[in-house]
Amino acid sequence: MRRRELLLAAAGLLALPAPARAAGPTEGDVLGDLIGREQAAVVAYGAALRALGATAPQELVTVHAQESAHADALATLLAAVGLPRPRAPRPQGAAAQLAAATDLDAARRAAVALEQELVAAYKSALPQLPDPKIAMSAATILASHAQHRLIVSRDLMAAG
Amino acid sequence: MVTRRALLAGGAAMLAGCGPAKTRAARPVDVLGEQLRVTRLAVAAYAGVDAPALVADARARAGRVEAALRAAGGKPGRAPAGPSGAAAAYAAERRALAAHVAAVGELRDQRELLAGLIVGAAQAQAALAPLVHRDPLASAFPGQP
Repeated sequence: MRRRELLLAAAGLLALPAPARAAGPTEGDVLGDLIGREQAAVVAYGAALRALGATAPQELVTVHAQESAHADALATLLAAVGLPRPRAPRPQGAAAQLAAATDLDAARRAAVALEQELVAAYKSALPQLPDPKIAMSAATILASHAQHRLIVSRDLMAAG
Repeated sequence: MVTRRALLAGGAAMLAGCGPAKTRAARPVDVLGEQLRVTRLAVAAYAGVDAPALVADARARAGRVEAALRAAGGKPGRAPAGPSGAAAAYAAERRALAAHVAAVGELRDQRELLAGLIVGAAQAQAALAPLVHRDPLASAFPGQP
């Protein structure tokens, strides 16, 4: 093979497109989705607590504070992978229902639905987080949402 | 200068509450065997506790881990004996939760199973907490090692 043909062949190899990026979200994508959910939950619980005022039960106050802690933790992980903390999205779905709740029964029902959504989101996210320590951190937040769902459900049933 | 990798390791370690990553890869059968051991201890701890739904859930979790262990080529040992009663059950579920969270860092291909175990153990811990005068929502990161 002549030198010119060799060069052309090599150039052709270099010009080949890089292998397609593996399908599926990146770690940053997964963390970005989770922090958006947590930020929306913080907004929603905050709005519900303001609407309930002095009648707000301690369990919802605690859950609100813990959602805020989750968002802060995820922001730390996002910063570590070079991504900024996103702006809080407008609450949607169960979070929007919680934000609009004006009585305790409606707030608890929406909170249970929201915690169910969060449990499902973290269960789905865990297999998609390659870094072991990030995955372990997400696992502890999954555990927290499972506890929130149980406690708010219990109080909803107890209230009759 | 702090590198991005160091930030990542430091931030995640802070959240996970643990030190540097283990350098030796764990064998899946060993990790699953440990998950079965701690879950069976939780099952045993419910003896004398009037909580049929929690007992049934713990047994179901043990069954799922046992199936995964067999599928991985492991052989379940004899069910361990341990203390029982509400306080023992609370402590056993708390230890099981911490073990499941730790296993998430060791077994990527069992995360679906582990997520279900984490939900079950976390809920059981919260449900038992009032029986032992503990706050069911004591931590925003339950299971943190």
